[in-house]
Amino acid sequence: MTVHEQPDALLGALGRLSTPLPATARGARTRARCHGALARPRPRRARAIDRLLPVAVVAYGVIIVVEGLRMAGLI
Amino acid sequence: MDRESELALVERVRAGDTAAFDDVHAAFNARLFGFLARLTRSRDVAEDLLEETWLRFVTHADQLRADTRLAPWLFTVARNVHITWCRARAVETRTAATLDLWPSPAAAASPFEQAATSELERRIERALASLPDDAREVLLLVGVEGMTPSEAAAVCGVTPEAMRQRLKRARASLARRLDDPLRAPVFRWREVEP
Repeated sequence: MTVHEQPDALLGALGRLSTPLPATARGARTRARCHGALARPRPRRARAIDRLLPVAVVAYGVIIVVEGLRMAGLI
Repeated sequence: MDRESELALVERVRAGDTAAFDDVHAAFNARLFGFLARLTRSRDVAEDLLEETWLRFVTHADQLRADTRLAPWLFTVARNVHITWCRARAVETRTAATLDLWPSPAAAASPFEQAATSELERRIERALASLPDDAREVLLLVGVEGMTPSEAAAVCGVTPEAMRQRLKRARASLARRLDDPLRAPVFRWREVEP
């Protein structure tokens, strides 16, 4: 069920507050640093961990389930 | 930004497209800055935390899920960066208080108060700044950013129901401060020493 709330004047007033702007020069520097970080390939080790982690978690889960079944005498 | 454009943008950022990053930056930079500046009450600190937020975004860009919603993701990171800063500052303040070495920071009018275009806006900024951090962040996310309570709940890591309660209390607290100016202490802008 969707709940339709009444428009709230106070929250509406918050939404109309002036938006402060950050310094332009600082923003340009941040963007340049971010471009550099995006262009840099991630270390091979980090990528290997990303690939292996889900496999390790699934394998651990399978071992737990099989061991549980074995202890229950089902296999 | 409609959902389709957002998904396309996420896909391009995941692939390391710098032009896509620029589009995300253009769409969210001022919003994130406003959020952080109103949380920290310091322009300099907000700019530092903003940079940290963007660096975290690009560092994790290739791990973004294809269906990532950018606004909640970015505001969650900004909030976490702010919490980390608060913890570090609390340690510094405790140390400084123990040693009694640092003078009290100089008081000045908030840039938000100076920039406010109307008396009402000034009063709201003052009342908002006088609220505790947790109440302020809820009002910033829902009131200023226009997030739904569910989206704000995801950003703050609480249930939507808890967020609705928190929003109700924060709203009531803000209303009380606006009704009674004596309850809203005159906010003074603090320049935080690095």
